[in-house]
Amino acid sequence: MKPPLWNVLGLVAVGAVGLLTLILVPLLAPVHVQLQLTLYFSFAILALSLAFIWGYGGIFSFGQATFFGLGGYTYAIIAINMNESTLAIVAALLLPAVFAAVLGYFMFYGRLSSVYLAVITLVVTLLFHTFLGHTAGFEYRIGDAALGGYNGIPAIPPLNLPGDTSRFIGPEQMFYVSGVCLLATYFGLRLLLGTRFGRIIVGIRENELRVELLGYDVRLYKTAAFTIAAVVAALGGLMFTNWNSFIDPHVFNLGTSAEIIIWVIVGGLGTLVGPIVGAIALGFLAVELGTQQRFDVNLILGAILVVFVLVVPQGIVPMTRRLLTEWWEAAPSREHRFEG
Amino acid sequence: MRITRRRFLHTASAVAGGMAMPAITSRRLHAADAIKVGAMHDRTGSHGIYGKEMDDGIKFVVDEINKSGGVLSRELALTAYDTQSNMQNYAQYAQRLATDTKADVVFGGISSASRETVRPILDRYKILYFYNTFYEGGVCDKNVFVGAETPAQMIGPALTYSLDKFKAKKLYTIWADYNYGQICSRWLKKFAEDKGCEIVAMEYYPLDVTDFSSTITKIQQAKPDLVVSGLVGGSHIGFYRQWPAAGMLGKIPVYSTVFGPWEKSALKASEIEGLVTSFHYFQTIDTPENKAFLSEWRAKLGQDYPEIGTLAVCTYNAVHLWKKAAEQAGTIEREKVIAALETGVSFDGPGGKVMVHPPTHHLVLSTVTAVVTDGQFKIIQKNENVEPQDTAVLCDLIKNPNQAKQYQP
Amino acid sequence: MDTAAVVFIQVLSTVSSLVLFSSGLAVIFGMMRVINLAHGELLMLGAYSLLVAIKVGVNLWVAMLVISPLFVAIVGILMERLVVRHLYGRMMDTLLATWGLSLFITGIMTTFFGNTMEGISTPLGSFRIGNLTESTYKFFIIGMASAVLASGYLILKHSRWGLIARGTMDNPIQASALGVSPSAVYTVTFGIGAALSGLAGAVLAPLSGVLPTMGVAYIGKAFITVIGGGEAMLAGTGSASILFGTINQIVTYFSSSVIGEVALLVSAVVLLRVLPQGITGQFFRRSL
Repeated sequence: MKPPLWNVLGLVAVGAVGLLTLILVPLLAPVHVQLQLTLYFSFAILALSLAFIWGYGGIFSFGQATFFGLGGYTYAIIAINMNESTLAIVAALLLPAVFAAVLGYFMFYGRLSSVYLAVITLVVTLLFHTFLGHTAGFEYRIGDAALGGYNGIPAIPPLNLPGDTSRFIGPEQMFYVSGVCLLATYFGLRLLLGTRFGRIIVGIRENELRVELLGYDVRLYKTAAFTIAAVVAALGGLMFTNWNSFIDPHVFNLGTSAEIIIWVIVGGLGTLVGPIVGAIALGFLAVELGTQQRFDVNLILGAILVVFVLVVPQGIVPMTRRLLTEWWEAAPSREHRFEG
Repeated sequence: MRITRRRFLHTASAVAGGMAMPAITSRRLHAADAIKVGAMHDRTGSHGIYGKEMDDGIKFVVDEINKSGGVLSRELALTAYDTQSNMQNYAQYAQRLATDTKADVVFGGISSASRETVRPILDRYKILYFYNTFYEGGVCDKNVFVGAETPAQMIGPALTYSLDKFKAKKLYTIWADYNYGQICSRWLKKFAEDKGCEIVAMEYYPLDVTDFSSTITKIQQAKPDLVVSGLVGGSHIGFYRQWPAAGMLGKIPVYSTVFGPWEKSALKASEIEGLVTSFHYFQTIDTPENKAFLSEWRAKLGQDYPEIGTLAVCTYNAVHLWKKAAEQAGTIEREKVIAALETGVSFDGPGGKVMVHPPTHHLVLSTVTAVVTDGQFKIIQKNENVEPQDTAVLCDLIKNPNQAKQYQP
Repeated sequence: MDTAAVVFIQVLSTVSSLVLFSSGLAVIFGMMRVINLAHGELLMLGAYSLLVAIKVGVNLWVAMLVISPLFVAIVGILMERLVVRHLYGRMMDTLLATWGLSLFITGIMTTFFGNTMEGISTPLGSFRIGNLTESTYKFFIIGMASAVLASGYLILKHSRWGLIARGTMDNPIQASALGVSPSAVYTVTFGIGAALSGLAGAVLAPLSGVLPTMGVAYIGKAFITVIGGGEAMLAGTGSASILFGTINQIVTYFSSSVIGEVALLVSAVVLLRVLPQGITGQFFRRSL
């Protein structure tokens, strides 16, 4: 059991790093780095959604990309039709939540588990990908918004202050919005995990039968957790869509779904900070690798991942924690004894 | 494997060093007054088959121009990115070219999605943008010039040829299911119906479909006079293989709106005999200019460089058009270069003369109709000065300069 | 009437393709619970090894039936020895490692072979049914799938090796107490799974373009088929392929390939909801 001091320090550290990033990056780093980070913040939120449902809930969902994409597309369609973003934001978070609740009901009340659940969530994602990829024809419009098929939906209206479309959030300001959303999501999930609900979710991961025998309706809790994770993913999708005012079916494809899993594993399954680190680090890595032309990007990225999994099996954050703990405990002058 | 601190630090620093390497080595030492040219093409990924020659093309032409004295006596410094057929990469590299490199002009984009991702970014940061891939037409943007064919140019003459040669009245059409296929298909329907033909089918296939057996059976049942194919990309090559496999080669003629060396190289000559296709440029064009160009290209990039197509040449032409406009204007300042281009700058490229069409910011160029014969593109006819009619009816940037959109028919 | 016959053959061919490109995954996942995300790339390697072998003059059928499976089996064994064996029991890490391998292999092939390569045309010509013609190669595919299923059954049920393999999968500790080396069994099984994937890639290569990225199109369907099939490897893959392949092809014929895809995916969802353990969780239990 980790000492309580670590927990508080950890939270403070995350908050401090987050705030420092938000303040210092625009001042010290080039604009394109700021814009890049904005994108990675949205991926980090998506990673958090899987970190929560899988790392803490024990539910291996291959389909967080569905809610990410649904959030983005819903925002796009409503924002284009209403030319104003308030309702679009609400819908972008609500619609995926409703869909998740229905899908969750379908899956958890059917007592589906582990691999089979993973495949259903994957199939749902692929369904959206296939369907939306087919919508290039002109007849595929919802109101004013043409779904655009593989070309996606461009020129999506930006977020604006409620009621006042002249005061909108430009690309460079999205950095702050995404960053704040990311921090809020992180602390929100941390808080949630500390409540009774959170502990039940973790308990279900540890031993579902026991929790059920204790009288809790496990299916209901799983569906609820799944819905919450969907809202988080949808928030990521909302941020993503506003990063470049664009969305396309690529967010629903197999590669994207697999990438989320990779971020979480690389960052550290069972932590919240880890997947954030994983998403941002791998994002930067992929883009930087693309700027050099000596080696194929896939080759290097693949090699790094394989080496990583053999050398750092638990993920970046747990590894870092372990090293820090070893260092702390190995120092001879320490007289502290850590309880529990 | 036990993780010791030492091993972890070694690995971490190696990885970090490896990550930093590209950033360090790609930092170019620009000459103080070099002109910054940006390029974004998909060298890898699903569109890699198209992007490789465009990426090589831009490097080739920048080098050629630098060797002959640069533009306005200034060297061109090229920053070329491989966007890996990924839209996010396009957006990120465009942002980088705009805000970090501060490019003076950008060439690139392959799929229409990539162009539409990049266009708003370059418009916002006021960077001149040339898009050089044949597409579905309709882009009407003061800041953008299109250096490639539109449907009117690619399809018009070739379809006329096909209809005449095969005495075709009944057409069965199959298309890739995204903007290019959707819009081109409607354009072709209009054109064909104007000529009194009947379109019995317009079918659309997602880009990752590889199995066309149902389609081929349905075509056999419909018994059309001509099959028109607007299939695109690596997966759709399957159709061109399954068609002869089902015994259909030569039974019903096929005209493809997108069939260049990139698809041809994956297929055997016996599978595609008689296929009709059309672009501004084919390597088999028999002119002294083209021969000179090809020998330069091969000298630079290798004698066994695979056959190139219209994409590389359109990229080449675009850079030269920009160069001419800049020299005409006496500056690389965006507004003045645009004005110069709008006077109708022209350039004699390997495929013939290309000229800027001022109202649409597209090109007036020649298109060539070819038939695949013994595995080669045999040129059948050449149409000069074909205008981008499809875009012209919708877009006039001289009369209405403040536009930045793409029209649909 | 001719239409019905042709469509029937096309359905059988689609089902057979599913069987072929899912069989490798069925072996590796079904027997070892390893989620091999590099499965698509093993298929791709099978296709490329076929092309390379033909280029150096090997006979088409020898290349397809011998060289490709052998080559990919070796690749599979290397994968297993160098990477996967360190990760048994750790499903997440296997996921990550095989994803990394999939990227790596794609990258290597792109580096050495470029983005496209001249393929081979479909052999065996065409045949005629009434007014319609179809490719004769489809019969070959149907034949191959049947052969794979039949030989799989024979080996597992009636050979000593099959017995050892099944025993090790069921209870590795007991098996090793009886003198079998589980790690050897795992390596060989992985190799066989890889060989099957290589065979599938080679058999399907003459149907379409061969690209470094061609694996991606197959992996989703392969997973759905294997999981939908359930515990039993052969019966599961076979029955799931029949179900999904038929639905896919028939719907595609009557409407379009997109709706066909959607139909396949929807039927997978419905199937898993109704039969949460896959087809062989309910039917054909205790079969192979």
